Order: sequence, then C-alpha cells, then structure tokens
Amino acid sequence: MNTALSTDNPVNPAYKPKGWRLWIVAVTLVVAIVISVLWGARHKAQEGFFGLRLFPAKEAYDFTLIDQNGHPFQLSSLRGNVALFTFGFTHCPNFCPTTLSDLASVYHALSPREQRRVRILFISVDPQRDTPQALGQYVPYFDPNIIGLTGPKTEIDRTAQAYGASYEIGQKPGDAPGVYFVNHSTFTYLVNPQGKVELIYDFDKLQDTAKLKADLERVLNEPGN
Amino acid sequence: MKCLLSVLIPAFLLPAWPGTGGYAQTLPLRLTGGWIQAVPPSAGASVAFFRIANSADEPFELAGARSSLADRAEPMVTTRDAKGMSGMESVPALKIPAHGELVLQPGGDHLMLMNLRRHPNPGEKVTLTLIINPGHKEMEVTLPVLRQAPKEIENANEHSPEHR
Repeated sequence: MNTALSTDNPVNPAYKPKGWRLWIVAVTLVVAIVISVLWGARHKAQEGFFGLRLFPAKEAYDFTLIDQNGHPFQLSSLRGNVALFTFGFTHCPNFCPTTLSDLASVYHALSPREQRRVRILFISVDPQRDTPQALGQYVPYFDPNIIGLTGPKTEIDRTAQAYGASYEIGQKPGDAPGVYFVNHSTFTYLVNPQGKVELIYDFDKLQDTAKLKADLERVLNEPGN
Repeated sequence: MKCLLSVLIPAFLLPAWPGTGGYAQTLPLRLTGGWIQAVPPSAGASVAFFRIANSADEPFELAGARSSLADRAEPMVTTRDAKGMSGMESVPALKIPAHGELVLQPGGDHLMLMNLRRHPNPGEKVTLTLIINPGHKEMEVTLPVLRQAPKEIENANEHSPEHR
C-alpha cells in the first residue's frame, strides 16, 4: 500500500492531502446537488398542498360495497368528482365522530357548486355490527350527503389493504357480549376526479377546515379535473 | 358573566370556589377547554375532552367520573402502533402530574362515556362529577356538547370547578 502511494506521489508529501481535499470538496458538492434536487422535487410534488401528496397520484382501488340504503356502491361511480373517505366503525367514540364532524365542516365550507362535486364516504371496518341500517342511523347525523359503506368482510379487507389501511378487533370493555373496540388506521384519502388517490390526511390535520377546503378547491380546479 | 357573579355574590357564599382558600378538600386543580363530543342518537358512547392543570407539588389521578348521561365514565388511553393503527385501552386512572397538566383531546387520551342513557344534544351542557385520587375526591364540572373541538381550546369554556 505504501509503495503504491509513494509511486503516485513520490516527491511532494504535501500533494496527497491536497488531493484528498479536492475529493472531499467534489463529493460534498455532488451530495449537496443531489440533496437540493431531491428536496426541490419533493417540494414540487407537494406544491403547497396541505395533505400529503402522492406524486404521481396512484390509481384508486375501485371497490364495490353496500351503502346505507342497501344499494351497491362502486367508487368509480364518482368519477369526475372528488371522493374523501376514511375507515371506521359506528361504535367508535373517539376518532370516527371527530373525523366525520371535521369532514362535514369542510364540506359545509364549500360553495353549493363545489359540494355537488365532492362526496364523503365512511367505510366500516366492523361489518358484523355495521349493517346498512346501522350506518343509515349514523352517518346522516354529520351530513345527509355522507355515504356510509359496509359489505362482505373480504371486500372490506381488500379495500383496506389496497389503501394501506389496517384494522383489528381490539379490547373488549367488560363482559357484555358483542361489545368490543376496533383498532383502525385513521387516515383520510382524497381520490381526484380522474379516480386517482392524490392526497392523504393524517387525523390531526382534519381540524384545519380552511386548509382542507383550499386543497379541495385546488384539486377541483386542476386542469383535466 | 363570571365577573358580574363575583361582584353580586359575596365570597362567603362560595366556600368551594377555588382561590377562596381555607376549604379542607379544595383541590389545586383547574379544568379548562372541556367539551363532550356530539354523537348520533344511535351511538352508545361518547367522549369527554378537557385539560386539568395541577398547581400542587403532588400528582393526582383522574379515576373516572359519574354522570346522569352515561352508566360509566372510564379513563382511556389511545394507542398507535407502527402501522398507524389507533386503538384505545381502558386504564384505572390517568395521571395529573405535579405542576403539570393532563390533556384529554381528540385522537388522544380521553374520558369515555359508556352506555349513554340519553342522547346528548349539541349545545347542551352536561355535568360530570370527576373522581380524583388520592382520596376519591369529587370535582364537579359542566361541559358543553359540541360537534367539533373549540377552535381556541386554551380559552374556551373555562371552568372553576366546585370541589366537595
């Protein structure tokens, strides 16, 4: 090793550190450029959206479930409109009423023209208890235009998996039969008029009505939408 | 309104009013920003949210509550796993740290009102008797039923709880 080094720089010992310095500068520059390009790309993808933007937007899984009136409902029937949906269950006391109240608040903040192009969906992950009738007594409380969805567990599982959502039966408070909690992810998904998942909201963001409204208006007004 | 009341009602008529001092069981706790989540009439449970600040050197615990609204009121912690799955677990009590605060908020720890006896209407005010340990002390508070969290949670619905 020493022999090889001394062959490259046989005379001037100061030459070696200078070369190392140049390499360090070059590598630092390359790293800085790569980081700035990646940061710029990320920033461009986000483009000021409040929700987490999927870039490029991902084709939304076209589920078919049963609505609160007992009719089949297919996501693609909303093509040309914006769908905002979340997973939950009607016995959920904490996340679900808050989520639906927050989403209803955003919906109410839209103009009537915008409202016609936005639908809020609530997909049950507790089909055992959440019959269409149970959903019919639950979702209209938040807004009559909210669509509650249930269906066969297999299709609910496929839908949850397709969107990266998850759920499981949780703690049973007390001994009463049929009383249990369902643990579930609490994201809200925005499917754009072209049927692609464009934005995802964490539960904590839903309280900010004005920023959600701005996202919705932006998606509705995007060219091609 | 509160200012008016404090002028009109002499302090000696309010022995349990915090800050008047001298009351044996007065708790050094202050509840703010409290509200109860409005839920559909079909829902069997709701949730109470609030903050309790503790100005004492000793911690306290919120062990539950009594209310005419629900059969049971249990402290719950919210859990979140690596997959982003949220759930809740019943716990015997929630700690109110010394010189600290217990914060109950949407998506976080809360007081679950189980087996609702009637439907709480938005705008209605509901009285809860909080059970505070050690000593199984009672702290009566009145919270509004709201569809959404108050925007200014810090200043909203400030209470001077009655202690027994």
